[in-house]
Amino acid sequence: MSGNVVISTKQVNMFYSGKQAIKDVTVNVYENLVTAIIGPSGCGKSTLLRSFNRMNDFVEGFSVHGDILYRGQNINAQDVTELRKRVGMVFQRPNPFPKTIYENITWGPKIHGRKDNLDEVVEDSLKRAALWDEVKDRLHSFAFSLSGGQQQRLCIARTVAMKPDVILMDEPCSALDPKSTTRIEDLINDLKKEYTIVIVTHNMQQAARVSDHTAFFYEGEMVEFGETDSIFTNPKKKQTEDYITGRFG
Amino acid sequence: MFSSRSIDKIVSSTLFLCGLLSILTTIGIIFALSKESITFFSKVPVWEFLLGTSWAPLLEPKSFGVLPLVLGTMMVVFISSIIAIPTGVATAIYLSEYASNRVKNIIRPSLEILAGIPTIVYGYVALTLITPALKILFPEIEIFNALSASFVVGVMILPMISSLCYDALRAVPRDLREGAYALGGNSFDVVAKIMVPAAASRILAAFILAISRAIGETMAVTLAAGANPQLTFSPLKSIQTMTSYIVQVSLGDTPVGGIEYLTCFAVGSLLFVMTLLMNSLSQVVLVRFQKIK
Amino acid sequence: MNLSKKNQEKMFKFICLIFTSFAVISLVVLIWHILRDGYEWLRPELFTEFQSRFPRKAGIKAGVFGTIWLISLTAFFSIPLGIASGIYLEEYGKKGKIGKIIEVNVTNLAGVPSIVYGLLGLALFVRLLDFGGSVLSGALTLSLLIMPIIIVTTREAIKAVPHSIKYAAYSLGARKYQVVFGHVLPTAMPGIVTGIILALARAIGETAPLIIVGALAYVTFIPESPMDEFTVMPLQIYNWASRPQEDFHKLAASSIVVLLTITFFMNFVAVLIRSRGQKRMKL
Repeated sequence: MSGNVVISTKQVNMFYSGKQAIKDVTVNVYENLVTAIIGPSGCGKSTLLRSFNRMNDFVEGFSVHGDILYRGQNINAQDVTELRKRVGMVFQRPNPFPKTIYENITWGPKIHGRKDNLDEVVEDSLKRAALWDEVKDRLHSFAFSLSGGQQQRLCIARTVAMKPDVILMDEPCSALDPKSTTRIEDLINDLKKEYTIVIVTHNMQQAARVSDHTAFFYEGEMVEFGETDSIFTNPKKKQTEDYITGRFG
Repeated sequence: MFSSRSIDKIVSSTLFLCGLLSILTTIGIIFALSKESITFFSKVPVWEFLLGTSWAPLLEPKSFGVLPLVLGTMMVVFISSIIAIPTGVATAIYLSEYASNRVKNIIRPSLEILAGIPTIVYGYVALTLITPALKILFPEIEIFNALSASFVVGVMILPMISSLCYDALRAVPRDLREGAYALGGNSFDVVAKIMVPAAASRILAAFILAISRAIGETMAVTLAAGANPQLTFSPLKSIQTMTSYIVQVSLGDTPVGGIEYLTCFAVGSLLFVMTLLMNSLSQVVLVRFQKIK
Repeated sequence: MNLSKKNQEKMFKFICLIFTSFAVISLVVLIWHILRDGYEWLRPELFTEFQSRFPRKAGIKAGVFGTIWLISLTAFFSIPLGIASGIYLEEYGKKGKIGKIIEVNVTNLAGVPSIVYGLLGLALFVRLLDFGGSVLSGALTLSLLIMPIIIVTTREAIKAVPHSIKYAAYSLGARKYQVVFGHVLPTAMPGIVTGIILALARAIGETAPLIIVGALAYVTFIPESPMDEFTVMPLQIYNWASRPQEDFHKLAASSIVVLLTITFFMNFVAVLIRSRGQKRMKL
């Protein structure tokens, strides 16, 4: 495996009120690639993802031991809002703001001081999220008027509008129908040209379709990490094989 | 130009200061009440105030026994509770167990409207409607009397009791209720033997809060119950409550620092302590009983 | 008496129904009584005349203007402070010890009788700060009185805002104040406005604390500044109701009709906003 490391963890352990959720995990996320984190529910995959932009700070009793680095710098040593600006996130369920489509996109750039050419930002972001053609005539209608799949692409556009370095996706298709899922998977393929993407999914086919690297988690530990092709065709650990062949999970 | 980080700090400290305002209010209340009360008790011994049976601070010879006012307040509390507690509980039971949506849509807004009517209006109704009506039943009733005031205070605290009891009954776990029905209980069995006991702590807390509210009620009793502090147990007679005494003095021209002025704060302190105790008691009841479960 | 099971249930339901109807009957009787007493005296002079010794020449002009002055000032003080305290308690102070103390304190303040607030206003605003029996003293007193209501409803409205909205904003690198003022507060607004209207409706009907801070019952002028003395509608009603003459009672009743119309209208608007807000949340 080669390329620039964007996010890395070194033997991190994570706890919820003393209960261990992540055990001794060391993993690298490489630039302009899609890294998938897979594993049965409760394996800690979302916990790890959410710690990359410190969204776990909002969970009471959560603690991390060990270093998580973003571009070589410890994320706890950085200003958290700067970190989140660089490392954006798309959530499990579409969560547009109760505002218009236009305002959903511009809110992020605005709070970071951007005031001009907002129309351009909106058009560009929506195009990148493959939503422009569907909504260009109703940019000022309420975001909730969109379908679930469209809402999720709006959330991606909202993240893209920040011009982030990394996009974290926490099971972005789990609340969507198959057709919308395909659209988002296609979108991920386009987006990786410019962004580094980490996606958590419980859908193995999805991981196989969209990712370059795959990390398999089981009960808080990273069982295996490698190039997606080799993980799916030639797993080195028995647990991985059992999981991807559907014996549990 | 501020950075967003410093704005964040400024905003959170400003909000904190606003939050502190409520603490300052409490300190202000305690300070204002105790300052004047201490002056009062330097002139009138505490035991004479608390145990004296005659209240006549505005007449010569002056006397400062607060018991007649306390008794007057208690009488209003007692009678209004007798009216409002059974009515409130029964209303809550009917709403939560039996009422169709159509009936609910009549009862609940009515209760909300009753709760929103200014107390002075209740006072007017007590004086001009309830008292004349009571006169038919009790010809010896005085124009100003405890009974009519208590009656409207009962109506006033009814919405509070019924809505808190309704919430209490609703909070009983569904499986408990359904389990009781599944054992073949009829609605009376389920309500009286399962639901009400299970909601008992919250219902009790509701009673205490309502009583506290009745203790502090002012305008209805001022208008309808009279201004005659006396030790009587007859609700047909004119009485005076702690609250209506304070109003009576405030309406007159009493010099600042004079003994009449100070009595307001002494009586106010007693009122404050009583309601504070009741409110705390209701919270203790809630916490205590929840732990037992 | 040995009731059969079936009859026992029916009986119980019937008794509950009778008690339940008490509230509706009380309301109907109350309104009917006031309308019957007051309708005759609902005439233009009621609004154009000041206090008078003669019922025919007396009106609530001073009370109406006094109430408008008082409620405007009360709203001016209590709304920003109440909302700010509510935001602090729900979004900032939740975990801290001071937050807990303030929370218990607000609950207790909500249970303090209004007349005690009057005594606070008398000692603090009227005497210590020397505002006298002015509109300002009354408004500050009522502000402290209704702040706990505004704080509690603000908190409840904020609590109902979905967390996902907050997380979305944070993940865009927003500061806390940007999340709170950009998303939480706007989303919670219908609930907050409802609470404010109900609190102000309560303030309009308050009488006792204003008597304590020295509002006058007999006023023949309109306040022109916050430092002027004043009266309010409920106080005029009290004054007329406590006189023995029948005509003054009718005058009181017609003023009550005005007062109730205002409070009912405010309650109605509040309910309307609340149900609309709920609909919007569901989308």
